[in-house]
Amino acid sequence: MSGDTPRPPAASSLIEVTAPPAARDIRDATLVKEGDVFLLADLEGNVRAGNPNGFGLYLRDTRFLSAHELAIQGLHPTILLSSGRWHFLGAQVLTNPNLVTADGKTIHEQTVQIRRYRVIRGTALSESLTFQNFNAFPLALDVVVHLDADFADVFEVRGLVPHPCRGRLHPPEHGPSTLIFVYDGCDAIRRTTRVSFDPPPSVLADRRARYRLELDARGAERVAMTIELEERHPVASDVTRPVRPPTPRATGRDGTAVRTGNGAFDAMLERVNEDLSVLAGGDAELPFVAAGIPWYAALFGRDSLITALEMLWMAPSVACRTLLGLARSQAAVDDAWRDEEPGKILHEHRRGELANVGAVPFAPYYGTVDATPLWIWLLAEYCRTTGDLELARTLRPNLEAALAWMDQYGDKDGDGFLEYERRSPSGLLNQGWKDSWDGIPHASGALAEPPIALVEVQGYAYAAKRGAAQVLRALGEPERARALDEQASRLYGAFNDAFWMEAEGFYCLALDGRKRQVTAVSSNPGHALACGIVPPERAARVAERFVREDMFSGWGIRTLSSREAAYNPVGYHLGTVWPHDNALVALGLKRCGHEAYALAIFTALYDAAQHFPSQRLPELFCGFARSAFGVPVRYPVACSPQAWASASWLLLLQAALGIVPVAETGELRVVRPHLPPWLPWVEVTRIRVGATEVDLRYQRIDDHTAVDVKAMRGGVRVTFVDTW
Amino acid sequence: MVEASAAIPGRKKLVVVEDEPEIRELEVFLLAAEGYQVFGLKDGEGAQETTKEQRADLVLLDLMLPRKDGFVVLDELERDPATAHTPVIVVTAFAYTASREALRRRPQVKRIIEKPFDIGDLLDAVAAELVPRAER
Repeated sequence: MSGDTPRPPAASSLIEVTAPPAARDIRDATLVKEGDVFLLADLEGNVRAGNPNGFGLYLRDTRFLSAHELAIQGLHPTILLSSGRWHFLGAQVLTNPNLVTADGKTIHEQTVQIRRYRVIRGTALSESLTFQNFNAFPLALDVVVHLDADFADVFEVRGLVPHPCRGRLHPPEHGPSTLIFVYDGCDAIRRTTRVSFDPPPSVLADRRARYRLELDARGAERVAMTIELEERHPVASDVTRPVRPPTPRATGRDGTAVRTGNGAFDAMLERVNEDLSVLAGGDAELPFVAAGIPWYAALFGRDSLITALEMLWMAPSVACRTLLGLARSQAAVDDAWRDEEPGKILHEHRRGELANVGAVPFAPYYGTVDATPLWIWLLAEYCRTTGDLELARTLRPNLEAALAWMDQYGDKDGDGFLEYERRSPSGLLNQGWKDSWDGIPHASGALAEPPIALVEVQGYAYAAKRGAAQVLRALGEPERARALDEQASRLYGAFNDAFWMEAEGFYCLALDGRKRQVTAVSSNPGHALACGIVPPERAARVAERFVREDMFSGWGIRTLSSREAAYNPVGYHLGTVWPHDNALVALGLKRCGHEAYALAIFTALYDAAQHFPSQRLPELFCGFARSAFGVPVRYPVACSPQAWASASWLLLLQAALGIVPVAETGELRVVRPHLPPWLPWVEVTRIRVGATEVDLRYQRIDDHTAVDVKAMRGGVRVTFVDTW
Repeated sequence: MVEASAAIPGRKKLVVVEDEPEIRELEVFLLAAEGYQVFGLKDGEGAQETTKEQRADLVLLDLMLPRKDGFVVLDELERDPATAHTPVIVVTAFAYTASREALRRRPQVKRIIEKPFDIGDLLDAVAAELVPRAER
């Protein structure tokens, strides 16, 4: 997804903020989220007015609070603890700096404790502040909470789009115990932030709630706030309320459980589950896993499909929901403004003001060349894993439309490859997963000109055609299946003629608009390995190339070789390390028989994760060599959690274990299992193969991995094979 | 003495008896945000009376409390017919084997949650106890 441009700081703050726009950074941000509402705050839990980091309280791509600051005696409290153990709950412990009260009394630092709890339920954030005096004397504290709401669209917050039309921001309404912000948007939606205080503040004016708290010796006082968000559509009764998830803990697994001899790794797997709960969004009609927080809190086609692929062996229900959800918004018309063409799967669906009024084409937007073949590939893999042909029957028209898009619109020049070139002037220049404006460079550093045929997209197309053929054969359509297989075979040959770079022993990044190879060495061919479009002799050379030091940083595979002219270890797609990218490369290496290299990637990411908060891999991190600093360098505005980064662990584990369920033959294939040295054993229970289940135990013995079949339920067999 | 959340007709009522202020605050705050009306008490004094007066639907009870411990509160709840059938969730670090056995003999104690507890487990347990039996 595209990178960001800083924007200048705005209005004044309770405490002056002087950080320049270039300081934009969310590495230490705190997050509380449930459903479509999230609060992104700084380490102290504050949202400082005019902050350049995009902090705020958001609902549906709109910032409903742009300031939320706490001060005692005019100073920010000192943070002692900030816990994000539960995504819907924030817990913080703060204490006072040295203070002087209004009557001249000195309050020594760390003698007043402030406990702050925040919880999001439905569309409301509740906050509890308890001030506890540990002094042996009473004291009076002046407490101020500063709140403001700019109702900025997330595209504006990120500095990507200046606000071309501004609705009416009403003056805030101050009541005795309520503060109300109202904004009438250009999209005719009234957005309201209603803050209620309990007890009422001493003074509530100028966007500030002022309290004079009289604390007894060793006594405590509590202040509570409820912040309710509302979107009211033109029809007065049509109030948008995100549906509250049924429990605070959603599950990312369908009964399949993993336990290992490494407690830290177990905790990381548990974190995957929690991240998916954090990322759950949408409503009962269209639930989805958002791509990432904070910038991509929306449905994205590519991200949700790759996340579902990563999780498929443990949670096929996620794939089912993803396929159905994206099928509902499959394009039916040709609309250049949205880069929309019949049969295409969407790129992104935004719900903020700028999208609603058409200032950006993202409600929804279809500028993605890979979501459509990825959708077909996922459908085929889902059917292979579960044997659920009912879903395939239900989606049969969507499958046909998607295949037709690949032939008719995806390959406009008829050369057999999927290419992209944006038609929307506000659309994305690059429409593969490296979709930043400079994401596809030639070896010279010059940008490739469209139409661009990306290497990994041809792999997806190949997997889609082969997979669709399998599905249609199972549905009793052998002729159609044969035709698709023939198309896939032609693509295999054409791809290997056009994309291979013999001197480099690698595939090029893309073909440009003049059908010239974009010869930059990149991570992209690893995805093609995973799709089965690479012959074994070439796979060996590609695998060896991946682990040279210009590509393998020590923490993972870089997006671009450090020898390329365009290389930048801090460039969004120009040399950074992306966990999902690495997981797909590892799958490709495993599939082609190079499990030692796949394990090297698994281990590198495991080591890297130890350096991130909660051992959670972010969207990406910098591509600096491990030897240079000894720790991975964090990317300043990476989303975390990011769905496909979190789910990477499941795909990496699947590759190591070699688990391939094949429902049609009632077979669980175990392909060349190899555990990394830091996983002495792994137990997996209830691996689903269609309606049957298998329990396996893996044990590492010296450099080998033994597998015991602990249980089989239903008519399933376990085979130990070499072929994925 | 009592930290109470807002009274809204029709809400289920909970009594939280917990001496550690951080934990009591968290429980009262979270359960109130869940939509319950919550009464927080810092020790066992008045726990039975509050349960009775408020016709509480559930009691979350710490065992190791100053002044009047949780076992005494359980005895008091049991003795009064008005509170003898109010379900209790024991939330304690004190539930070692002997206590656990003693608690199991008390039909009023529906669940035992050990500290440190997971917030999700606590919310799930409360929700489960407050679901009418026919809906379980």
